[in-house]
Amino acid sequence: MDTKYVSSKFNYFFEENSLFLIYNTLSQKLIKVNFDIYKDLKKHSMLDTQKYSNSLNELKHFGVICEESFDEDNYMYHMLNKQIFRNDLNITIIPTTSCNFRCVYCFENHDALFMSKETEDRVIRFLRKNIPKYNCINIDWFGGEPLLKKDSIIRIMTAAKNIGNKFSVPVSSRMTTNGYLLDFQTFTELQKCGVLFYQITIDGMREDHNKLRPHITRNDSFEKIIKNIKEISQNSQCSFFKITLRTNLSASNYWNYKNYLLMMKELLGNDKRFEFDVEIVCDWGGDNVKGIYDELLSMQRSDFIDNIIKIQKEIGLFVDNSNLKFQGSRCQTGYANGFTINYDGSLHKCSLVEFGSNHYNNKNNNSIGELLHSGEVVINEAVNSFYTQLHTPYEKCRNCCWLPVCLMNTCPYSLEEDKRVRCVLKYNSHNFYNRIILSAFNKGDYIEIGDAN
Amino acid sequence: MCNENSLTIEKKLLDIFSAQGIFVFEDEYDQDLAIDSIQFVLILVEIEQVFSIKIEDVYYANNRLVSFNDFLEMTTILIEER
Repeated sequence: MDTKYVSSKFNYFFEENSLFLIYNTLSQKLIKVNFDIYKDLKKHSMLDTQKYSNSLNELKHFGVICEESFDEDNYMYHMLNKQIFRNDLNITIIPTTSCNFRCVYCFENHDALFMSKETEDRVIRFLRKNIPKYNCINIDWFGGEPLLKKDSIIRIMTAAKNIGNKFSVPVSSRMTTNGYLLDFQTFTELQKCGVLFYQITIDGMREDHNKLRPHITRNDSFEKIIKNIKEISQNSQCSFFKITLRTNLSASNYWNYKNYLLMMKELLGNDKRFEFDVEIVCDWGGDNVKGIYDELLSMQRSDFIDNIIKIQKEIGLFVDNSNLKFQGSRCQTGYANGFTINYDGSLHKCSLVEFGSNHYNNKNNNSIGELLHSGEVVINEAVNSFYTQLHTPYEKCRNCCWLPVCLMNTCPYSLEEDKRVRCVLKYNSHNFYNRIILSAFNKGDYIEIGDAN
Repeated sequence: MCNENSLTIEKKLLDIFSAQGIFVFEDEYDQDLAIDSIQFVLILVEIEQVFSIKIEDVYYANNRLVSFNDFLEMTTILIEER
């Protein structure tokens, strides 16, 4: 008897003019198809296997179709468990809580605390003893401004990369930096030791940015970051780094966002290594934000996102696609082998709670264990289990094609306060996902199946 | 003028793959390597650095790099064009 195939319940369908795309949220593959395939799969009826015999294997391979009897929910939960408990090490290292910026909405205290040589050595001993035990190592650098401790970062990353190469364990690294100290030479040094992914925040045009994200003593915050970005774009021979340029929008810079993007388009052209992301400034905690309460945007997030998307689409820049990933809403805190090493060597689960953000319940200081002087780590698995917990989808969510992206994940702290899981679709809007899908397509991140129309 | 012969390229590529935890045997050169996205990026970064080549997206978009031979062929072409 012939096997019967149906369209995956996790297919999201996107069409614009004569472009037909299917994004499978479970396999995370973006597929370009012709109108016939698109139309038939969208119907979610039994597939005519004779008609699509040439494309059947590929459609199946990329998860766009599955056997009629296949339990996709079961497979999704299998993949979820596999990912949460996978043998990868995800650590965030905070080399300092000090910062050379004084952003008006920042929730941190900027205490001038730096990682000591003793702690640095302890981290390296930890990596030496533990890297061989894992399949993959992901190191995030956060602060304060991490580049104030550039030498420590390079020493730790060089050690991690050498140990990884020796034991055949891939080591990747990303950094959240304000970009002021990321000149081309620093970027190149960091790239050589494995830091390939960055998030830099630029809050719009010069006047807006310098007002919202001023340097502690100088008035060249904007100029310096733009100069660094320009030099990296023009001079780097590496095709595979990624810099996400985030903008935090408030009443003061929202209306000038289009001019900012036009300027960046002129600066970067079609450089695919740079992506754009936005967030609305809100009360993330701390005292600083109280001074700009009247500048926080009051409009609905989905309306705001729709407006921003129109502008981004018109200008044609690439946008950050991390929101499309399987469990895209789960941060490293939600993984069994994920934790933060603070400047003093203390271990925490979340890198933000440490700073007492208003959004998080800071009951237990989210301490997760201990990094011993020998480099051994002792993890309190009872505490860890609070962060890796799974939530059963609400009835209304069970047939949502975005379930693999959301998977009822939300920050465990905010969940404790709100007692509800945020719907990613309502939070971000359909247009938000359409924009990311189109950007990924324009970037070439897709697979074409079947003959073109 | 290119100094690398095909055996050297193959050996260097195998070293790059094994450093990233991908072990390829000769009879598997045409098989799907099933590399995850991070390994994929790290391998391409190393190939660019080791061979001093630039890999345009035309070589890796649309799932073009699947097997070890795909990587070998791409690297050989780019070295010749260098």
